[in-house]
Amino acid sequence: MVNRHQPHVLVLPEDDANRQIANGFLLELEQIRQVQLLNEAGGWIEVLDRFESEQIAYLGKYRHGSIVLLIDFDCDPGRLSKAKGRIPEHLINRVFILGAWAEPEKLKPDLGSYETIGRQLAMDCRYGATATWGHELLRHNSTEVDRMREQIRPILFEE
Amino acid sequence: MRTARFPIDSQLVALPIVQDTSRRDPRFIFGQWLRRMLILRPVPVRITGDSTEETLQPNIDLSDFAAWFSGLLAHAPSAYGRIDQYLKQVMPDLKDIKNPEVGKDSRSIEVQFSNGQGNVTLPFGELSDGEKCFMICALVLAANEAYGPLVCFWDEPDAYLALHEVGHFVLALRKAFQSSGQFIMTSHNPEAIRRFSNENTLVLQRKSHLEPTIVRPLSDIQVNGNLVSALITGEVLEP
Repeated sequence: MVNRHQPHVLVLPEDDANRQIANGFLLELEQIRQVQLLNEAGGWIEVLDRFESEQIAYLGKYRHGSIVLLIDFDCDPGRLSKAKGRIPEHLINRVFILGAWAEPEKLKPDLGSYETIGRQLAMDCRYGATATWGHELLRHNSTEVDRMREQIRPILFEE
Repeated sequence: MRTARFPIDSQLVALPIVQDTSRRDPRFIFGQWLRRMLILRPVPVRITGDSTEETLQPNIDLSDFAAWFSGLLAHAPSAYGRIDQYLKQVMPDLKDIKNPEVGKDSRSIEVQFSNGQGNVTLPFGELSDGEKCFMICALVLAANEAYGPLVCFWDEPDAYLALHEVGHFVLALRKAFQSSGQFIMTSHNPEAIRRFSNENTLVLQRKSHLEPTIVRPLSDIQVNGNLVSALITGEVLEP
């Protein structure tokens, strides 16, 4: 169980593909007990619905918690702002929204299996690299990734 | 002239008496790898902390867990550090583990816990089934470092764990074995299954007791939507 009174991170994936990417990411962490992978929501709207119905209260209760919402952008340039519009102002610094521009399946020919992609993304986060986050279907995440590196990297990657 | 006939393969007769020439002999290396393979199907309620010997090759049901603990620390005393490191993450009030002599050639493990309110020392046998599984996990991790790389096959390691511990438990094992050794587990637990991905999950299915078990990579199976939902409905098991 995560220590809810210490800095920790919840990950809420949209679907099975995002869950597997998260699996790979988690395999590269140092502090594996400070992160908890939640059940797949079943769609990007459902991610936001669950965030509103469950996680807003959680984050209100546990001030050391942060959450990463893994969604597909489905080539929708307005999706990030739509999603951010459902995050309460007082939690905006503790919520991160990331995902593939189209769907994760399209990353596989270039980057390998979902777990491999997740591992590479974690390595990028750990070492401040952009080899994988710079992929054309992932680079739209740059602002969120920079924010995540600053706030979450010390929680998950420090030995 | 009559020729003698042997009804068994001569190689089967010869194998046990072939002598290894050195520790670098491939036969020695292969034999040791086989001997040290960990096949675990623990029954925690039967695991006591008592031992009269040491071993690096525990029984499948881990009824000789304490002998394994003794053997591992005799083989590599520094393994205690790895055991301690893992256990203090899952049981923050753990203080230490002792394995004192309690008679001629016999030892008994006791576990000490402490917090701001005081200390308590428990015989190993009084730990909960889940706590015993944490202990087993700690030894698996330490053994892989001390005398691995190991192949570890663990039948339903999640069976005795609290739901909120399952994911971290599986992740700790997967992470430890990704650089050396191989970890294989079976599970019916959705939380454990979710901690693996399609590329490293096999689905085992048997249609009847008269037919063999069919093994298929999950990556070969078309799953629509959520994997756990597909397991619950049986969609994954359709041929």
